[in-house]
Amino acid sequence: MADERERFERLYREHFRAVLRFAAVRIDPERAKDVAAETFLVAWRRLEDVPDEPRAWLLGVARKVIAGQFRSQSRRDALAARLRATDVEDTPADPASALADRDEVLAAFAALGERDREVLRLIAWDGLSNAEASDVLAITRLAFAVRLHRARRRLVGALEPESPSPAPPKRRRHADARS
Amino acid sequence: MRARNELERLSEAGRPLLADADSLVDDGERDRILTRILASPRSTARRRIPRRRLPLAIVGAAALAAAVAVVSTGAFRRPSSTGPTASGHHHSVALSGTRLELAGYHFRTPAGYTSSDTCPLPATSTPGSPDTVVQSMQAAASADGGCVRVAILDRSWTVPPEAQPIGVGAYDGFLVAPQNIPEETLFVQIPAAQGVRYLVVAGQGLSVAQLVAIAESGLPAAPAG
Repeated sequence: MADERERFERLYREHFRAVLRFAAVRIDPERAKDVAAETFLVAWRRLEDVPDEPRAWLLGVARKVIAGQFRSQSRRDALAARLRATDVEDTPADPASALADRDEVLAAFAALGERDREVLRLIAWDGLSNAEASDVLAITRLAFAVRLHRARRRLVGALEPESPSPAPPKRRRHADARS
Repeated sequence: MRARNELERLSEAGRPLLADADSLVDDGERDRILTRILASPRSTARRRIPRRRLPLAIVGAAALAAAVAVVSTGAFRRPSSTGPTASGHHHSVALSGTRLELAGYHFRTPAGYTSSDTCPLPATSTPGSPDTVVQSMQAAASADGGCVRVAILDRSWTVPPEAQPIGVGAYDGFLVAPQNIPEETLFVQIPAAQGVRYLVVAGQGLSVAQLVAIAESGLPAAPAG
């Protein structure tokens, strides 16, 4: 029991911030705290199921907890407004240009479907690898890679609606057919 | 200075929000949450099976027993645990074989692979850009004849129109179909200050998921340069 407690405390200290960040970019701040706490409560109760590399597992749990809390469009709208209202930091050269770029990127991001936004968040904001992100979504790595590519292409399209896509012509292929 | 790609721009745009998240919970509150969790019971919630789920649990146990019986007869025995053909349908791609060092990157290989200089060399020309040459290459082989190679192309390679785009973490990847070359090959665009380079990962009998996992294992999470 002492070992379990020690293991859990280490898990908590090493990953609490990542789980909180994960929740905070998907749900409002007060609920983000609840999501993080609930996620670790699940981890405590199911400690024997937590893998040695626990980040994807924890974020997968957090995602399910959020899914139970974050159903209304008004909450999504509130999050989008918060995204736009957050102060710009790390803008040493040209704050005005950075702000404009940020607004442009976030507007393009907001225009995407939730499925696209989620794969992009996992890579760009949560800093996960394809493998970890596919574990969070409980899909195959190949399916994730295809989903990610499509989301990126749509983000580029939303950012530059006038310019043609640089990607080569698409040859449709079933995501799992050859893996 | 190179232009940032859309993922880097998105990453930058989200940075203030992530910084805000860090300030949501201070050390004291974090410790209080931990204390509350540790004070809650651990095992009861999970082990207790609600009465209405009992029939389902019995059916599940019976199905599990049947599955164990089938597996024990050898009906679904896998041909080799160290071979190069592990399925990409598996969520985890085990990369516990040798590491290949190339241009400062360290790539992991599937279980059972060891460094080798006996793997056949790939064609010196590459699809889409016949004059592009391989700058450096490392290879690993498995006992049953599998080969995996990683290489860096020395100058920009042109993506052939038949290549299939695929995301490799924060990088753009392209799969080239086997009709052009004898094996599935993954090209990954690596942005650099001097222009774009391509990492090439190829292997006989490897799944696309394995090629992607090998590439990801050696590249930094975000493009540098």
